[in-house]
Amino acid sequence: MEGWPVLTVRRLTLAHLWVAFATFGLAVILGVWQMWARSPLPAPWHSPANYYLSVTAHGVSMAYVLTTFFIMGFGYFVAETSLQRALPGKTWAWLAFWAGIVGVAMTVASILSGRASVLYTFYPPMTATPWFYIGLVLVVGASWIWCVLMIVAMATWKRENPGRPVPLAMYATVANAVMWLWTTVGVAAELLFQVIPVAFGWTQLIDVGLARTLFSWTLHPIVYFWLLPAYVAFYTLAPRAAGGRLFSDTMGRLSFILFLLYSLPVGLHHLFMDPEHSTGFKFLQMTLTVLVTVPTLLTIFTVPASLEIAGRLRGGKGLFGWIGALPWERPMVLATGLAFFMLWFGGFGGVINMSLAMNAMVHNTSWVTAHFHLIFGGTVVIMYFAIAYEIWPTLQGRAFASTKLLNLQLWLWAIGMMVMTIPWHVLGLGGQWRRVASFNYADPRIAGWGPWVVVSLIGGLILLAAAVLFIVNLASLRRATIDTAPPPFRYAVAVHPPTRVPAILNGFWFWNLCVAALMAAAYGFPILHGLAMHAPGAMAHRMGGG
Amino acid sequence: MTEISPATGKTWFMIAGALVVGLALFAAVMAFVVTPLSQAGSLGLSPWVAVCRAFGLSQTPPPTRGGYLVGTTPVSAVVFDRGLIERLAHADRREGARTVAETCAVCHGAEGVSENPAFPSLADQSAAAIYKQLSDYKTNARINPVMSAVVLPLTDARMFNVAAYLAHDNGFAGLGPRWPVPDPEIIALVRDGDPGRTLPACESCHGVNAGGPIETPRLYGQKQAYLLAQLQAYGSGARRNDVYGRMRSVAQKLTPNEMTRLAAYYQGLR
Ligand code: HEC
Ligand code: HEC
Ligand code: HEM
Ligand SMILES: [Cu+2]
Repeated sequence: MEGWPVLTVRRLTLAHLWVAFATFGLAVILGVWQMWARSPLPAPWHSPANYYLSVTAHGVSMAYVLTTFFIMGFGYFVAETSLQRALPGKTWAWLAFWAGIVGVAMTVASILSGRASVLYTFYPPMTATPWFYIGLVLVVGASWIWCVLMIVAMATWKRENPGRPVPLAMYATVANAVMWLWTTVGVAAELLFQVIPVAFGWTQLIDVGLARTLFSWTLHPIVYFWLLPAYVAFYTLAPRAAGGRLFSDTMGRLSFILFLLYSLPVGLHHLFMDPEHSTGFKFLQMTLTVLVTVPTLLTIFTVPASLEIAGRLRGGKGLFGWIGALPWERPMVLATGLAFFMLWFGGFGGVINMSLAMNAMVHNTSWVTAHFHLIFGGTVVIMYFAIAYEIWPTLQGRAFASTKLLNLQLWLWAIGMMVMTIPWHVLGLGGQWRRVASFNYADPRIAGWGPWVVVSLIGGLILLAAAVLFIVNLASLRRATIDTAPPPFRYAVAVHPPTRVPAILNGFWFWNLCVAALMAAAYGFPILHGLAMHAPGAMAHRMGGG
Repeated sequence: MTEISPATGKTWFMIAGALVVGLALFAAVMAFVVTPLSQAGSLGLSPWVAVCRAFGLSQTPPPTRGGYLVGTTPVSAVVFDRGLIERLAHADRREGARTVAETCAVCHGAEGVSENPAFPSLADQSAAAIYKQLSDYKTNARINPVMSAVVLPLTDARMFNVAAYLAHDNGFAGLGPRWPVPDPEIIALVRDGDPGRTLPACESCHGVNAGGPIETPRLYGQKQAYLLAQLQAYGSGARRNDVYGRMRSVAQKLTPNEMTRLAAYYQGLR
């Protein structure tokens, strides 16, 4: 079996991934400092202004920079290796990269100036300097170029290969690109029509209800945008790494389509406690949210089934014997196992969050931050690590001499994440607020929180160690002397490799129609009703410098 | 290469479409029919009203059980909406200057630069702050024997004019930073607050461009005695026209000693 012989996106992918991981490394340090600031231990430089500056920088780095750059870089790699065809439009890709870099620089400078401590969710009527938002618009614009390139790459391939199924890894990547185009409509509208005019001072008032609604349009699918690369790895990398086959290619396609459909018309579940929408639409979107469990369950079935095939091929016997027989020393397999473990806990928390009534218990508490650190910082990011370990040898033309340090790093990350988030969940149930700069532990009503936060801080330190080790691991390959070129990059083969798939599972036009219809049903009335009501505007609250 | 027959292709689209629409319809019926109707009875709503409410359309008041009323007297009648901000921006400063010279200068000093420690300076104060205070004196939201009488004859338009004139930079040494008072503890309080007491930084609202409420007054260069009197009045609840009790909640956490030093700090030296 021959892989794609010449990788033409090597530098492009490396550039994106290094930006992603460098930002990640710095943001982890801020995260630890935030945990420290919230703990009873006296933290240096602790002031509310510094705290919100830090949380904004940490949130923006993790949620927008790490993810977007990682996904773009990995997407270019998948497009070329799975289609076995040079990526079209590389000049555009570099243009997008530099636009993204300029955007990040503007955003970072704005945050450091102290005039953009509005957190990564913007929270109007808080208003930052316009350059903060314009920088982010540039990053989003860059990602749109990426989306178009992914779609073009797939379309070109289909034209050249009529009737053949698009390889699953690419199909999933394009599903993500299509979803991202839909996703960003909301936040782009909010920024361009509402927030930026206020930030420039052209108007003083902002309709906060509408702004929050448009942001919610983006807020749920964006987490699936971050998550899908992890799923690409589950379906197309983990089974091969384990030495088995993908249980079902069709299940994979179906999962990615369902993510596209049901991650979009559900964002109101972030506004359950907001007054600007009726219970009817909240209930509707809650019900649609429940449907996201379907692709999750499909995955929970298909991926372990694929691993089971591998385990049995390796001589595992009995009901659970195949688990022990899996090659856990391979980072991709280990990461998949750890990711699934964290997904269980995080998924449970998510079900509480999305329930209209139970949400009231946990809304705006540390429970929420704990939940998304577990799923996003845990499941998703550990798969980003595993993907990096998987593709780095191909990118650098060198192989890892040993996987010991890689596995140690993955273990540290998973353990750190559990140690950090379990107490954090407990604190949330106890009523600890999220996004609060410090606590008065002298107050007997909350004195009991102190020890839990200290445990979380220890978890954070373990995570910091894991993050450092990750960078060291990647950098070590740069300088490694062993020049045994790795074998060509391959994806998992299905038990029944698809020779043809129904057109409906090989393209997206039909699913785009479905998304349009669902979005109209879920958001059409709430947005139009809000516009028709002429809600009173809120005064812009401008962030000062220094 | 085996081609997929167009017929089976079409069937797939039909099935998928029916499933997507069917599930959405099911969710909609649950949201807009089943749930509201099942709750209507216990809330004493007619089925029609219940369904309208599910869409956010009914203007009926929320159902009350045991019914209680919360006191709704506003702490201030001033609402900073677009209209008010525009009137402030387009007020007649010349007319304002005349009123100040005729009525206010006796106490607040010529051009609003006060010479008397008991009377606040007004020159270079923010227009929104001045207008709000004048209006509050008029509606008795803020009460002071002297000022409450002074504002009685003032029309709304004249209050706008006065506020706009005083806020405008007329070139007098009005409010603004002086030589700083070297008091590190107080400077820390002003800049960073005291998280231990959940005391926000004064500058998070009062700082220039800090983004505090629009009516936040300027403090630098204000008369020390006046500042202290206001902090004490907020602390005791004698002054209660601050919306949401913002200043009362701050002042209640300050010690008398801090109030004195804060007042000195904000007045500045010379
Ligand atoms: C007889 C003296 C006197 C006159 C005349 C007078 N004031 Fe005052 N003013 C005071 C005093 C005393 C206070 C402090 C009142 C308090 O503590 O509530 C005050 C407070 C104010 C305040 C509140 C300041 C702040 O920072 O909150 C404003 C605004 C004000 N005066 C405006 C005016 C204007 C405008 C006029 C003329 C139309 C005027 N005053 C005429 C004595 C006077
Ligand atoms: C949450 C925002 C906020 C914070 C924090 C804050 N203030 Fe204020 N302050 C206000 C507002 C708003 C007013 C005007 C209230 C009104 O409408 O009467 C005010 C009024 C005042 C006044 C009366 C001034 C006058 O001209 O009448 C003084 C004095 C004052 N603040 C001092 C302080 C000090 C000292 C601190 C810090 C310990 C502080 N403030 C913190 C918002 C704030
Ligand atoms: C060492 C590891 C980490 C630590 C110690 C840490 C800690 C924290 C803390 C303390 C907060 C502020 C919570 C609050 O004020 O309520 C925060 C916020 C946040 N974290 Fe992390 N974090 C870490 C890693 C990550 C990772 C890996 C991600 C995702 C990739 C992430 C994403 C976020 C986001 C998006 C926010 C924004 C929250 C907001 O604006 O409210 N963090 N983190
Ligand atoms: Cu969501």
